[in-house]
Amino acid sequence: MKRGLVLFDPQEISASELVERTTRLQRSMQQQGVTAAFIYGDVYHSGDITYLSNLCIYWNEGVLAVPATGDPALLSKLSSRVHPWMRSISNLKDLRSGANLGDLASEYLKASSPGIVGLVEMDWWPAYVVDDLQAKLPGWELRDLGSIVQQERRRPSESELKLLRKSAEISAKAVEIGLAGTMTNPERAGRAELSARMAGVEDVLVFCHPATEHADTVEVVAEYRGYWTLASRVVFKGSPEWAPMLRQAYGAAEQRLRPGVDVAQLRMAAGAALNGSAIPWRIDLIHHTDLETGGDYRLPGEEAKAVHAGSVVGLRLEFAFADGTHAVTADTFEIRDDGARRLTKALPQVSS
Amino acid sequence: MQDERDWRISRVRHGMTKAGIEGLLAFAPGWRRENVRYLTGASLRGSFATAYLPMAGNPAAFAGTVQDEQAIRAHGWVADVRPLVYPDCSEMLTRLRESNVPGKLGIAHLELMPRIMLAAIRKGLPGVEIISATRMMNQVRMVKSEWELEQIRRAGVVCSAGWEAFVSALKPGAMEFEIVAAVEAELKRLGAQDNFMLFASGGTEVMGMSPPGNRRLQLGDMVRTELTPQLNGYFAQICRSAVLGEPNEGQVRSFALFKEALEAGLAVVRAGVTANEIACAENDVFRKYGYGEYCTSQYTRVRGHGHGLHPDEVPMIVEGDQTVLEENSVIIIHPNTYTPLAGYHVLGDPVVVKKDGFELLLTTERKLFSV
Repeated sequence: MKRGLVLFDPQEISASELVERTTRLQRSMQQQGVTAAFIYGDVYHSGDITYLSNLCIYWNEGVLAVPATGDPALLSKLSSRVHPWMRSISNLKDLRSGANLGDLASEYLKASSPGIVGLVEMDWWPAYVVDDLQAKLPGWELRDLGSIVQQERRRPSESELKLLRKSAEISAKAVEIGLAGTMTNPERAGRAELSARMAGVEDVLVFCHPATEHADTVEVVAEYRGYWTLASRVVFKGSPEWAPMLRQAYGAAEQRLRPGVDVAQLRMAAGAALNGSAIPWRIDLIHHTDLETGGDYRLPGEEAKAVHAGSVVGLRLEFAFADGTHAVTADTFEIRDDGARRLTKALPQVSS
Repeated sequence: MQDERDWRISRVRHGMTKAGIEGLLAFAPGWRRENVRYLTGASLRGSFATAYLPMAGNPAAFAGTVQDEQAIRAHGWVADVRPLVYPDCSEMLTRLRESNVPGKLGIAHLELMPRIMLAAIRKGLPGVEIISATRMMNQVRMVKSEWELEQIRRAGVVCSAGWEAFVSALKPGAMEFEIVAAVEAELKRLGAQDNFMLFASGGTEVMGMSPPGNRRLQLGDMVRTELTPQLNGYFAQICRSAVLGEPNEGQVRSFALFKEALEAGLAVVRAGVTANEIACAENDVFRKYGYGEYCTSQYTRVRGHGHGLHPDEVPMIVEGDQTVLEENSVIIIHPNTYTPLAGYHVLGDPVVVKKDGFELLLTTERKLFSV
């Protein structure tokens, strides 16, 4: 749950860059004849809203309404009592609260002639809300805009790359601290959490759990100023036979990572290194924009797409053991023309 | 634990009968997993999972990740565990067809179910009437078993420890988010899986709570929090306020007002009373001293609420809510609101509702803390 530091710092992302993000979306909307774009978010999945407004949906649900021209507005189930706080951490001025998102949307559009409302990632919207919009917006066409905002987010600007690098440093440091010494898994989680939160993360997910009886996993997924990164390492208490296999498979995938590579190619590289191992395993390549949900909100088919230069991705290899435990190794990489640069470089290389 | 599972299934099926539902599908998005956890007992990590309970026969569960499938199997309550794969959700629909397809299917958290999933269900189960079972499941979960109460008691102990960590971290110059960091670290060290927490610092200008900022604490500040750790799936909440330095007259008067209101609310708690009666008892104290206007939605949300597998469950303790409290439901009484005396003030204790009163879940003193 989001209970870390939420800031709007124009030194990090300038007000003009924030406005330009909305302007790019509006240009695309105008080309498609869309009157307003609605972006749904909840406390678990709201990265697109944060990207366009710096707003944090810290609880409940909301919709960012972006008109074809003019400033966006937030339609939210959160109380109007938190509007002053929302204004302090975002560039939004028009904040509207109510119990029903359909009613808020209807009120928002009441002065406009019926046209097209674009729903960003319409497949992930609650069907209940979409049905309600259809009922309350007679004459309006609801059109799926797909992952139009995510596509922009996958080409981070230089200022965004700075924040992603900082986020990756924090994730790596938290894992490093969680690995140190002899601790129980709750103690590892406590130390990793403290490290990340003192560094100013907005949210952090820390998973410390056994990986057979011979090892523990420390995995951290952290959000710094809206930018998510991933890191994970295994701390060994012995020399299980699977340890070198994990290193070799991950190392093979990491070496293969570069522009144009997709997860199937990484799977082949890791699989070759595993040489028919009986341990079930899974490798995943997750854009930083999908890390908040562990990649679960990727639209069908997206998982298979190749990465391109300029993107930032998490590489994650998981062994699933028969006793129900898991070993996870992961890092965050910036994909560059000449290969992949590990942003979680504070951690030792797995293959070393 | 099989007794616990059977007790739950019995309660759910009783609720299904009353609602005229022949099959229940519990849906768990990443931020509302409580119903699937209730039916499977498993701690989940993925963004989507469902659990299906027919009126007769065995339950089944469906998870979006292999890890969650394993977690459900390992818990042992549901043997039939299958993958949940978009866009066609075919394994889930196949299983629903294998047991007699219900004429009326209740979906818990239907209101949050993604269009892609509901479209697959509508297409795959033509002719089936689909209704929301969210309210039904809220009612089912409201009364806790003895095992559930034991988990909430443990969460109550961690609440008290979290508050101690909060007070220990308070000092002039510390930034708000650093206080939260210290609390989170302690909660996690004690085994908490998650925590819901809001925060505010300052004087009479504070109108409510939010996530923390980078404001530095100053002498004279009142620092408020509600923190809600989750232990083995179950949440418990504490609300307290502390002052850096000696409290001023307004802060002292404010605390006295809130303490009297909290204790007035607690005084009427017992099985059989309504949420409305508790809220009225709390608000009457504010009205008695001329602060009744601060009990409205302009200044506050609720005067307490239930908790369990979710931090904010029914009943909502508000005037007009006629929900009858049953024995072994768990609620927090918190008359949190703004007044001009000291700004937003929070004070609240969680309790188990008993036949003739309540069981307090905290050991933390009910006082205005001064650091």
